[in-house]
Amino acid sequence: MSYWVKKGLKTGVVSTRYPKQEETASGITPGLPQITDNINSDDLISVCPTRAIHKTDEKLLLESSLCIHCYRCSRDTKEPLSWSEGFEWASFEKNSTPFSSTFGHSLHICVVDSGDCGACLNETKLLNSPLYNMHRLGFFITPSPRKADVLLVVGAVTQQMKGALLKAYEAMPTPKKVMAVGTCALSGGVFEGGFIAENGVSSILPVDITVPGCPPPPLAILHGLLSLAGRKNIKRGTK
Amino acid sequence: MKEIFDSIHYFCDEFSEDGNFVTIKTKQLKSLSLYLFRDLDCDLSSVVALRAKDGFNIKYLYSYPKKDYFFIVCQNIQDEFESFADDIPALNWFEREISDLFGIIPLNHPDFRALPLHPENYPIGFHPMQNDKIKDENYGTYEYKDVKSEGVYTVPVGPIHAGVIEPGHFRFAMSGEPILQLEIRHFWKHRGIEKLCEGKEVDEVLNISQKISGDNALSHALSFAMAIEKICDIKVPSFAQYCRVIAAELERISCNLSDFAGVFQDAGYSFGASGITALKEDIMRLMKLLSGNRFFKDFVIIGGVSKNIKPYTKEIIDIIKQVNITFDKYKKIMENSSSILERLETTGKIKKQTVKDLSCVGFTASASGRFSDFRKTHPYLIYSKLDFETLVLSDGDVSARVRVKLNDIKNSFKIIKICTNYISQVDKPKLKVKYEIKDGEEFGYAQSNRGNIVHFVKIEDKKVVRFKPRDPSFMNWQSIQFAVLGDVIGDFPLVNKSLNLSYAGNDL
Ligand code: SF4
Ligand code: SF4
Repeated sequence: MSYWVKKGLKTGVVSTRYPKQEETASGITPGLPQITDNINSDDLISVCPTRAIHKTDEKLLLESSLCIHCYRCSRDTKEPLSWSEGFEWASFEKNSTPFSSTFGHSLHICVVDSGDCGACLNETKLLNSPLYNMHRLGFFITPSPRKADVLLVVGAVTQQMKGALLKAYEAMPTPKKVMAVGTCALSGGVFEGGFIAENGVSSILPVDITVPGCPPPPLAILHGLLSLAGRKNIKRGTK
Repeated sequence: MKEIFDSIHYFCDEFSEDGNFVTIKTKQLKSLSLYLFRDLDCDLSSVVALRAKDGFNIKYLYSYPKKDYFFIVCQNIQDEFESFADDIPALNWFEREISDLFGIIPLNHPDFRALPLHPENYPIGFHPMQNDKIKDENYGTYEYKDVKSEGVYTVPVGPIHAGVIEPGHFRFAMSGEPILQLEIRHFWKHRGIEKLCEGKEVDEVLNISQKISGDNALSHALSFAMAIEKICDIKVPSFAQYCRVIAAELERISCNLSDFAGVFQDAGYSFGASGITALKEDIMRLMKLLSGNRFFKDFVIIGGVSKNIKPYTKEIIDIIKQVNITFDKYKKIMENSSSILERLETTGKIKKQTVKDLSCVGFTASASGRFSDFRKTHPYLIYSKLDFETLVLSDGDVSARVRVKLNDIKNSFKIIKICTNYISQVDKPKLKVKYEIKDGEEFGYAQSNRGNIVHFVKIEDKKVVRFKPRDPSFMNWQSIQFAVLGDVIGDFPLVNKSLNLSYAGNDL
């Protein structure tokens, strides 16, 4: 008993200071491929298996919601793409807004796994670990959708999970928001063509905010939650 | 082995040996299967069905624990086959899976209900691997095996759970406090991976294989890569082999630590859980440093590894040393705390016979008195050169499983130390070799923290025509139905955590 009190005091605070301060520790994020100007495009487009790298109006773009982090663009090409180290990837879907300030301080989150590979869920779980500690920001995982403000969905929505996911959404009180986490939840990812919903969660539920990545690191998910609570200003989606 | 081969000859029509794989064709399928499973005490490792020219081909893979041998028993069938699930309970799920996916019928199956494809969601006549038209467009229902009696009530849980857990359905039949029966229903996350991989490039399938069970990404990639390397005769440079072992052991530590934390958490000791998750995060950050990914995704590639970890040898040694010191402290806390131990001991007991019948793998088997670790019994990569002590316990309870895992973490520390020593002395590290894809079919296997992973791959015209992954959880899930009997429902999370089963890997 006395041991852990002593140990606790000795260890001090290990949680990240994000969002008040920037988090710079190494290894917190896998990063995303970064398109820079004057890069040889044809090679890249042909090497990317998911059309994440594509051309619109002669401009080379990266659609992060399709990227499955297969590293081919940095391994199998003559001019490898460099990867950015950031993690603030969340973006609102068109016409979606954060919670109003009345509801936006503390959020209760119901996590539903609708067919992920386990990695996205693993990263979500880490939000409760002392290093990320989302409780300090007023975010809590609820055991039941009936008390939840946010439905956090990971994974490609399988045929067999569709019904359960829909029921969970319907059980939530309003105002409610849906957050899709991970490439699978956004577009199907590597399971595209399998027994899953075609466009990820958005084909079943109205998605408000998306966090790309395969899997997105805990801080990216935290960034999404902060944005949803209206406590972080982020870019708007164009979709 | 000669005596054994002689007695197998007695059963078989065709017999061929290729490395440590023995392929047997026979008309006396049942007697041979029983001889392998009962007399030789083999484990059932995988069952693979394939479309053949006329009808189907089924391969049963048995692994022989006393020597590094595998037995593949083949049979050709039309659209039905005899079920042996009554005699070899481990076959139960395999046969039902084949029946759902291929539409071939196991005759006299003791429990012939749908498994991966829920009849509420897929038409009854839908068999994705058969490539035929759907004959029966109707939907069906699933009959649960509820216990109906006075005073017995059913507690259904899931598929969506409280907390951050994968989906699965559990039905407890309770009589007062103790659990009378637990029935599990899974495959909510069935993503159709086997079907999806048909006709894909090897590289694409390698990528998908890492998403079978995300936290075992590396082990799955490893067994897939080793299957391909066997088919194409690729010799992986020894430096790359050492790198692969370091990566595999780091992944093992990370997963085992997360389990250890879970046990602390579910035993109501969150101080310990916090400390251990912090350690896990340290390992994950190290994994990112080495490979660019926090789960070692795309570290293993066909023919070698994708990144040189030699420049980071010092970091690996430092972090492992630190983690080891802290880990020892928490281990001591657990061992000295009677309140934690009391929760773990005698909870969730699995009998040795159950483990044998279901061919359970990994720590589940080792904690119930049946040793299971491919690193020792069927050594791959460089594991035969490494010296480490594995643990076999006979208690079969949560405490035994935790002790096996803790011992495993210690082993991993040791193995990493040996391997980093080696790679720091290599002057010109060779990461990978060039290769050409050839046609053929092989099994590949690797030991993940949960148990052995077995992949079957068949390549035709340089494309993968059949990929059958078998995650360790597929073998172990049924054991939970026996583990909880007589316990109270409040112990279920603890038992579940101690078994650490992957839903994603099971559901495919
Ligand atoms: S990592 Fe893979 S999916 Fe993502 S952009 Fe690069 S090539 Fe495309
Ligand atoms: S997005 Fe990637 S990590 Fe997340 S569930 Fe899908 S495959 Fe797994």
